[in-house]
Amino acid sequence: MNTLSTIDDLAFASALQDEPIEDTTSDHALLEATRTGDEDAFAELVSRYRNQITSYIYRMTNDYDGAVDLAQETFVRVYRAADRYQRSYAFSTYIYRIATNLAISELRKRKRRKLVSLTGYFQSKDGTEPRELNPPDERPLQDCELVDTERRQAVQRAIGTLPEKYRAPLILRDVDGRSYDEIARILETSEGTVKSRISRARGFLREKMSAYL
Amino acid sequence: MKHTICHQVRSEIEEKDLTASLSAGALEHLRRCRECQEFQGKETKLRQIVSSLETVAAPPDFDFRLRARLASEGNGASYRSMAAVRVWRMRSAAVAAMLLIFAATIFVIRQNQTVEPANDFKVVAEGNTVPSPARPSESPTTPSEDRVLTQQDPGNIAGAKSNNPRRAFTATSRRPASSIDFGSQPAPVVSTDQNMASMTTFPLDVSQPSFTVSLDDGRGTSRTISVPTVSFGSRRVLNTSVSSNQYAPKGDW
Repeated sequence: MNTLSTIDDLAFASALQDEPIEDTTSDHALLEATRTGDEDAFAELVSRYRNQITSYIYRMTNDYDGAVDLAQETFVRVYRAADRYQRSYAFSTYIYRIATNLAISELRKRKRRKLVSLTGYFQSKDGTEPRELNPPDERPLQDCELVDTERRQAVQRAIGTLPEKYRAPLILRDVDGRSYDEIARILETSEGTVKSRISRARGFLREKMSAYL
Repeated sequence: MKHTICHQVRSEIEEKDLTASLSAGALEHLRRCRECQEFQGKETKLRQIVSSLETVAAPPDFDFRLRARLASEGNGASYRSMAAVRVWRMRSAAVAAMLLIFAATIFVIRQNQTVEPANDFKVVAEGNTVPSPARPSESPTTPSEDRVLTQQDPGNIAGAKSNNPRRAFTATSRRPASSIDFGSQPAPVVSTDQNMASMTTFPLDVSQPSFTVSLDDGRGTSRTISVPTVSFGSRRVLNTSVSSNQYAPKGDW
């Protein structure tokens, strides 16, 4: 049993009592436990964010297998950098920032390799207007669910054609439903820039999705 | 004026959530502006389509693969750290070996400097000091400082070597010199005006065919060397006018 022997100890103890007791199930607490070697805490963090991160990277890269690999890399980096984690902002902001950086790096690598998805858009030879390899069927469909599915596929392809600086804020805002403030922290830019980029991204999408609007 | 208001209303439409209500001014403008109504309709539909994109689930083996990846990277990290330790140990061993070789070299060099060759000692006849051949770099020394060795005490080389106790100890720990090279020293010159009575004579029996010398190597082993009688140029120092000298003992020189 610990005993308090000095006035400083008493003051410190009273200060501790004034601090709010942190929820042991919060993201911060789980990462703190991960830092001390608690693997169950890290598993809980993974279970909370694996679908969100995988989905976000998939929307960014339009490649499921690659998205899973990058999502795993995101968690590996979180695990490795657990000692350097700072509580200045939310853990979700922290992990989304890592995922965004990985996704943008992957997109830039692809651009260098000049990989073209056969199911998406690719530039025409003159480089002026993107041409759709698999254009949507304009005929009316009987099943509304099929219409919705095709519409979602079309919008996913359209998002894939956006420049990366417009793509990330649009997905974070309209797909994941995050606030402008959090998006600005994730992308490490100002809120005004985020709003401007989202507006431009929606303008691009309206043009590409005019057949569905 | 109208375009400015439209721009403000469209910005508000873009920034607001789908479920949030617009301001009263924006709603009033939307009732009158057909273009802004069309913009709001398309914007709402587009955002509904985008938000309808479902969350893609991670594969069922996501956790398993992640654990395997972390484990493999952990092993890789430990292997890298072990390799670093191994390299550090090899470098340390190499440095230690070099230091050891350096120290041994210095020790050997100092040992060689401590033990000087026996030719540095002067062998003189008893009572006489023979100057050693002059060396240009040597400073002149007094006879007391000069290291001498009497002929009657050939084994006392170590004690006569130096006043330095360490050097004396080093020399005494070595085997005593059992032979002296007389050939390296100039022979004493005997002149005619010297008193023959004070000269040391070496009685040699020249009738014998050889001169036999027995040497002890210091370990109880004796070796016998037989030197044949040699004749060399000399000058007879006896006065031939004195008749008594004509009958000097045979073999006295």
